[in-house]
Amino acid sequence: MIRTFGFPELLFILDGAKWTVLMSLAAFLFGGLLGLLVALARTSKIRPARFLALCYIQLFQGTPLLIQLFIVYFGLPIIGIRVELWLALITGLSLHASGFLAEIWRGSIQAVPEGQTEAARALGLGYISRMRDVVLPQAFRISLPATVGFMVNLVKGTALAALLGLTELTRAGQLMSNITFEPLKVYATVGLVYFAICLPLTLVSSRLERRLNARG
Amino acid sequence: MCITTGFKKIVAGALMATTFMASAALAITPDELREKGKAVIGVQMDQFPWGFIDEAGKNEGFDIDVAKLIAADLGVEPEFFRITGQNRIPSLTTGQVDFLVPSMTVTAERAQVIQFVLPYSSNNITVWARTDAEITKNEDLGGYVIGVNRGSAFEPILSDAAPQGTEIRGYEDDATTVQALLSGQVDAIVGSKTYGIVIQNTGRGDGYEAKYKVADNIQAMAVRKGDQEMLDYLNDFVTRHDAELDELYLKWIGQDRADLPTELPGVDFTGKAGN
Amino acid sequence: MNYTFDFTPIFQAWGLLAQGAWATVYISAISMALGLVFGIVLTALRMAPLAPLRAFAIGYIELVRNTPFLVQVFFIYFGMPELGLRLNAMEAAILTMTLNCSAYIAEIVRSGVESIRPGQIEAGKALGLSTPDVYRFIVFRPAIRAVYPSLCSQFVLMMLNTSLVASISAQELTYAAQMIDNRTFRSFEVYFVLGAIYLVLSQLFSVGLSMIGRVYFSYPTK
Repeated sequence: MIRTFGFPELLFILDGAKWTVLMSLAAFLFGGLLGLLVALARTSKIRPARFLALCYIQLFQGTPLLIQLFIVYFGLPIIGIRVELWLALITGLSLHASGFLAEIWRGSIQAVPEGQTEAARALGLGYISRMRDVVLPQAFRISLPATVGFMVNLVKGTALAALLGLTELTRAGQLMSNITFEPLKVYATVGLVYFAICLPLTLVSSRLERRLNARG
Repeated sequence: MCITTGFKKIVAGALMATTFMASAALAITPDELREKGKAVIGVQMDQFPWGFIDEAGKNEGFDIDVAKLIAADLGVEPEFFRITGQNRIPSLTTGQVDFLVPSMTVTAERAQVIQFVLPYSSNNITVWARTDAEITKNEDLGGYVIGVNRGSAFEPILSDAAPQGTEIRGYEDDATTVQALLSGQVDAIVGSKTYGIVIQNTGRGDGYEAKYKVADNIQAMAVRKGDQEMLDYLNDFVTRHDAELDELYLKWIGQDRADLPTELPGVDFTGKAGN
Repeated sequence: MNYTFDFTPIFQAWGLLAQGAWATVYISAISMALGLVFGIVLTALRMAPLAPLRAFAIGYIELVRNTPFLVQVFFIYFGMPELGLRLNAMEAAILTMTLNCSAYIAEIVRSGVESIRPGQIEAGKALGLSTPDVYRFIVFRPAIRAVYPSLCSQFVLMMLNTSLVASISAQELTYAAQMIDNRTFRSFEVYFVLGAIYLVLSQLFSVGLSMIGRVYFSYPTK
């Protein structure tokens, strides 16, 4: 029955946060792997690869995440892939993350001084070794603040799964708002839970940024 | 900045003429469900008392009881998939669920995309408004801001019924629509007769009343087009469990279940027309 | 793949999409302008000599940046009426967008302001400029010029964010598309076309904003 917002409702919302965390981690992992490939393509010497990577990034940065999720959700069955809703959402979020992480990492790779690559080449290192042992470790350090910052965006982005019906944090809030008719309390609670998840990441990100700037 | 009803009507007219094609690739039969031992049933959990989350965080309501009854009859475990107004038809056509028990209005447009089972409940489409709002007929709607669940069948019905230029606001789901009325964001809402139960339950029932009935609202379960065995089974279920469904309806809706039609214009409940 | 694509019902409804796209541009433009103003105010508070003002600004910025826009929209639209603030969907959308983007803009503008050397401010004062003029011409304008590219990306992200205000019944592009979806059930086609429109809009915004920047900041630097 219609009831007041209390402990059981809070528990239900917290339970939804499981999905928020799971989706964020999965999307970061898979999006990161894919994003690295795109970033490498974007910084490669091969012109068509650079161009395709540019289009890929533009595509994900130029359309709303919500629409990306809907297209994946409705598009997968059309190409004959039948997956559960949560898997479709993780796929969509991963693709989204790959576009943004690729752009962040492109910047970081290009921020590594050209001389490093030249020196590595002079030492006779091949592309893979040059990237793996020389460029990427430095780029990684440079990219850390922005990468962690993007994780915050990703966590917030999972909220859109609510609009496709997955009972994550925001959808759990919607359902509780619908049965308690106390949206103020419900959404304040939901907001605080996101805040608790995101703030540590934000703090880590800005600490990393200060450390990076201090080292020059 | 408003997308007006007049415009909506033109669009709706143009769109209804289009045809749809269905895919039978995801077909499922009652025997296959028994073999799997479970059925994934799409239920809508944001429309009290048809479907809602109880204090233990479990799915509850009229539709849940009906779905459990079906699962027991089939001899399988029910697995509930919570649909939203926006995704309930895609969740069926894309194979996220085996069938829907969603208190969904039967319309001829929807019947072109999904296969309706014989109706199992009804629920008048009603205008709810503040007691002091002077609304007794469709023409009166033009003077007010009207809220409606935009993924529902109520929305096109409202668009057709309301005079040109009526300001219509579409919300995510039934509860949010009621919320919009209670918080004063709209003057009136168009939707289920059972919105009244929700309004009463919030303790704010005195200020609001049912104004008039806009249309019938016949509700049915749905399966994918071409899932003939599922359709035959559920049609048989609805007929066989008449008494239990009456009982559940009385328990949740607080009224006797009305006599339901077995034929509606533009809707084929047998799955055999057109084949 | 036994799916037949049919885009005709979507193109038949082009007028509805055009209206929606216009609403999206309208909401975005207003929120950008207001967000820029509030963002600059927040930056000023963030750097104010009074600790409580700084704390307020930091608290506000972090609260906004660490919660999802969707939840903020729900909170303002559904939650605030309980406190007596009742806004219609369009107003709630614009208010939330403004509040949201001002926090991001404040962070961006701050990094621009920090790039202004104190000596310049002193030089401005020495030239006899009033304090508001010093802040206007020597602090904020060059600061915004320095971070203008970041601001533009933020504006484009914000425009894309408007797709979420459909969920509180603000009638913009996504709302129009979902209305078509609700009548045609051509979900994939609807969202595909919708994505393409947003892509075009975001490119137009990028180009438009950089043109505005070129005109407004077309004064010599050195």
